[in-house]
Amino acid sequence: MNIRADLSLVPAPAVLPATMPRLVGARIVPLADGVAALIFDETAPAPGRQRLDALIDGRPLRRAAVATELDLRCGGRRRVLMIGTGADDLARRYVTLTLAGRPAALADPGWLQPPVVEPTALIDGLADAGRRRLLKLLLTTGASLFGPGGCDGFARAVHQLLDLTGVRAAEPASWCRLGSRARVLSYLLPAGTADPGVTELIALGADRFARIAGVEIRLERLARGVALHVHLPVAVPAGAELVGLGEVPVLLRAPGAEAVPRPLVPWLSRREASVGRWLRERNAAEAEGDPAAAVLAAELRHAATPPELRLCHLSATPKGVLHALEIEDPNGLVRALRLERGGAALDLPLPEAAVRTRRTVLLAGFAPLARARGLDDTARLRLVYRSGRVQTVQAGPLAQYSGEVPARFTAAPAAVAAARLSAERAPTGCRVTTIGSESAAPRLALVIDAAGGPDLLRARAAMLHRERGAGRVELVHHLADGPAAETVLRTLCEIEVTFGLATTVVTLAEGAWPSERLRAALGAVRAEAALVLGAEVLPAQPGWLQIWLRALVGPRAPHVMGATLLGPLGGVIAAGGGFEGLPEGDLPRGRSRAGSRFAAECFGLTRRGIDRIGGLTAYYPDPDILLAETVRRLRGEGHVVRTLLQARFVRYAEPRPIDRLEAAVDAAALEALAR
Amino acid sequence: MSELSILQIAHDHPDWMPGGTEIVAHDLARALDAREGVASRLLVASTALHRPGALPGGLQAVGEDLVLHTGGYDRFSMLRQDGDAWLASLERVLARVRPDVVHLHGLDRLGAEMLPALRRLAPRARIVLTLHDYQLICANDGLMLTTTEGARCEGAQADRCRRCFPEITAARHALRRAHLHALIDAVDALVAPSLFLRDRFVDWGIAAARLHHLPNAVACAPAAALEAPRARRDRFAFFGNIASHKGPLVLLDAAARLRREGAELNLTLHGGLGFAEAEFRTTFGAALANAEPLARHLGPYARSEALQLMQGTDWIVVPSLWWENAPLVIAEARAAGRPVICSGIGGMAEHVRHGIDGLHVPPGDAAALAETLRAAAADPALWTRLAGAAVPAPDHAAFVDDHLALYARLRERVPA
Repeated sequence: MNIRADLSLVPAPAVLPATMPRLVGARIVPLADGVAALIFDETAPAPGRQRLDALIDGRPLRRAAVATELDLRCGGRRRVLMIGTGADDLARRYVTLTLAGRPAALADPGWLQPPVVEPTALIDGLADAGRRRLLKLLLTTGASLFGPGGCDGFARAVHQLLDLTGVRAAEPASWCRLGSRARVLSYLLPAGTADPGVTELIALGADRFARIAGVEIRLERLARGVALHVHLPVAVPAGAELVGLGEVPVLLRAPGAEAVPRPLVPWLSRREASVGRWLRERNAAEAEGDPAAAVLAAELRHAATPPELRLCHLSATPKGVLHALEIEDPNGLVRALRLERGGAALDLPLPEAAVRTRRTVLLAGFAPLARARGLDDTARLRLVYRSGRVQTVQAGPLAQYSGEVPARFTAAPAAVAAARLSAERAPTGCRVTTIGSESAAPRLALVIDAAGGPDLLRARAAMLHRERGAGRVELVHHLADGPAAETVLRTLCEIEVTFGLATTVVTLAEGAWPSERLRAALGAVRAEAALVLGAEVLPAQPGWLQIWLRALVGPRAPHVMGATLLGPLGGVIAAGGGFEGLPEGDLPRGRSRAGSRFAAECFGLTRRGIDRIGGLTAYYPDPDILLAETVRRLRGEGHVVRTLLQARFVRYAEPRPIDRLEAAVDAAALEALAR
Repeated sequence: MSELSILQIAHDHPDWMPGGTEIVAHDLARALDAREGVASRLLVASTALHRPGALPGGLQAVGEDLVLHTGGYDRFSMLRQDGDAWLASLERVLARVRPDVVHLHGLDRLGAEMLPALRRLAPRARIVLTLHDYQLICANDGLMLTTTEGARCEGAQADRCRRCFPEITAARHALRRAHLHALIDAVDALVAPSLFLRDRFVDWGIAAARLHHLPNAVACAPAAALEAPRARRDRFAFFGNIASHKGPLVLLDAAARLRREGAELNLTLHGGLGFAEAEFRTTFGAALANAEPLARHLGPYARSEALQLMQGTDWIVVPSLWWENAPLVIAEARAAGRPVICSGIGGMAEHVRHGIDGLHVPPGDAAALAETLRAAAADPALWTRLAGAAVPAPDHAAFVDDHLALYARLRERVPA
């Protein structure tokens, strides 16, 4: 009850009636600086309401005051007058408490026993109803008159009284957003807890206590207790204390800043149906004016048809993650895909147009997420909903990128190129074996990819065997371990005994890139120059060896020399620097493409050229790129790199279909290298 | 003067495969060995068909001759597929014979890589290769017949060859050619028994200067004295292996037509079916049944009987569907004094002049062949004219001399 001081009243004379009834002693309870409660108990209170008032030193109270009466456990009532005067001040004054104008209790500063008592005296002996009434008074009228900002320490006093009254404190179990404003906070109470019947919620702020309007509360019986779900139409500060007033007061702490909101849809899917309906209704009502709530409402509506993520490709290099991920989101719920590696994350936003049209989206690229040192190389893929929900859909160790061009990268060749150029290759140890007796002082090495099979190996051997000077040629075959390796080695042994052609065999682990095999083989070369031949490439005519020896051996030989490569039925496949000097009939239709390319399937290297290729730091599966990069650098340094038009070579293989994607990846790699 | 040592190598022995190549190689080896100052040995290949259980690459002596067993062989690439034990065997042969000349008669079943192996193991020896067939050019058993229609092929081209072997890419056909070219570069001289064959190999890319034309000859007794004239020359005979490309079915078809007409002539077929497949045997049996009793199949014959058998007939029919090279049967017919009726193509047409010493018929045309047989049987004057105009059979001694001359020329050359 809020009783304002009636300042129009004339102060009463400080005269006490001659025959004064015996008055009970009033006690002064300090609540805060400048706030105190004057209390006394009535064992047999008169029926009906009687106004409680106070005289201070015989004068009517001129300060704001609030009076109430609280039931006692023993059956009487406790009269309480809360006033804006400190307990110390009151203790020095002669205080008379009146009921309906008649003195009812007295506090005399002259008493031997001072009337100031501990705050517990305010609640000692109160019945539950009395405590609830006191609490409500403190949090509502009391707070508005003396609350935070008005009197120092009032809030503290309220908390103290909350403790003293034994109000149950409930910690938040979880919370969810229902839009930009609304929240649902959940608390877990012990099993068997009765419905506290909360009807009001007061937020205890540092500077004010605020009643939160529109709060709704539902209980849900769980196996492990009772969940109290509080729907707040507005957000409350993190960690705020909320007091629920009702049958049983309850102190509800708002989630702290560290508490991450739960995604509503999965959280709601675990709630009982009535709670689900209730919150859906709340959310639907909210959605009309809150876009964030509308997004959430859509997510709730389509909970049965969630977005799907299809992992088309995922692999990693030390510098990033190559990914092709397809998201089917017919309801436009997803904003982005979050790719996490180690402690880092990158959101890959879905194109806005795709979200609007609700099309299936392919996210293909190379995410620059470097491998974290000292951690297992794992990745997590998460869908970031427009509602803010983040859903983990895949997690696990990352496969290392192996160098292939995976499907689905048609529109992202640069991503594959970036992966290739940054791929980490474990040190590729190689076995070097020698078949037969090597030439003592070879002039030229033939570095041959042995993957072509026995027929090609034998035919090439026959073409070398017939050449003048074959005895001073060093043969270096390179291959990768695998099912065919044994056949290759057996064939090379047979070639040695048939033709007398010794060979060095450089064998790398299965899965080694062609470029790695080439580098390893070049590393085994002893001769002063090398002629590199692809697996299916053989000389076109007799006499080729002397021509290449003349071209590559000598102080004026260019570091790198391209060769002309023909198809099995004629026609030029590649001609290094151009087509000058080639018969018109041999020229391919797409001459600009083929003519501009140096083919790693047939080219010559001097010792310096061998060192240049070996010294390249960029790795790439295709030897063509290594050669192109070497040529680019040499030309950049002013070296002449030309093509030998005589002594051509033939690739004895069917025309390879043009792999446009592979070509685009290679082009992107070259661009990246040039940058 | 030291003795000239010659190693003749053939892909079969005439004792178990009496084909022209085997006979020529064998007879040449024997004749050379009979010459003073010349030692000649014959090395032949054998397969499991003839010597089951023999070790791949193993070497055996059979009489005067040596047999090298082929365990596995790829007919397309013409390469052995039986490991490298054969090289040790070859090395033993070469160490024993120490040849000045190694003369190969074909590479089939021997393996084309025998050439570089010989070059390596016998670097001072000159290598001669007689091209008895078109195996190097054509992967279809060297027949130069298409696998699809049996049509005669004019020459190997990778894309054309792919039509015959669609499962093999054109690139692989091109590789086969390039590979074999590289291998036969090890040969010092190539012998072409016919001009027709020589031209085919020139077309295939072999330099004409490397090809030496030396027609085949048969080492047999000269023809017997003239026999008594016959009123009718109505006995016709086929000699050789009974194989589809030799045209026996066309001949039997012609005979069946003549039988139905009631023609008065007879036809005998001399030769075995060898390793013919069951389907061909069935077809042949049916064709023969249609032509009997006008036609009769008398089965295999011994080489020594050939001339006598030929002299027991009037005409020798060579109805081959493939080009042939220098069919030995024509040389034998000539030696026996018998005119030849043959398909007017390839090596047959080269060795038999139509209307002068024989008659040509369109290959595969049973009606035309029947008409020719009927006309020939009815015209004894024709027989007399043709038999009388025949050029003498090539002299085997001269044939051996020509070879010795070739060997001598090669030995004069400074090795590369």
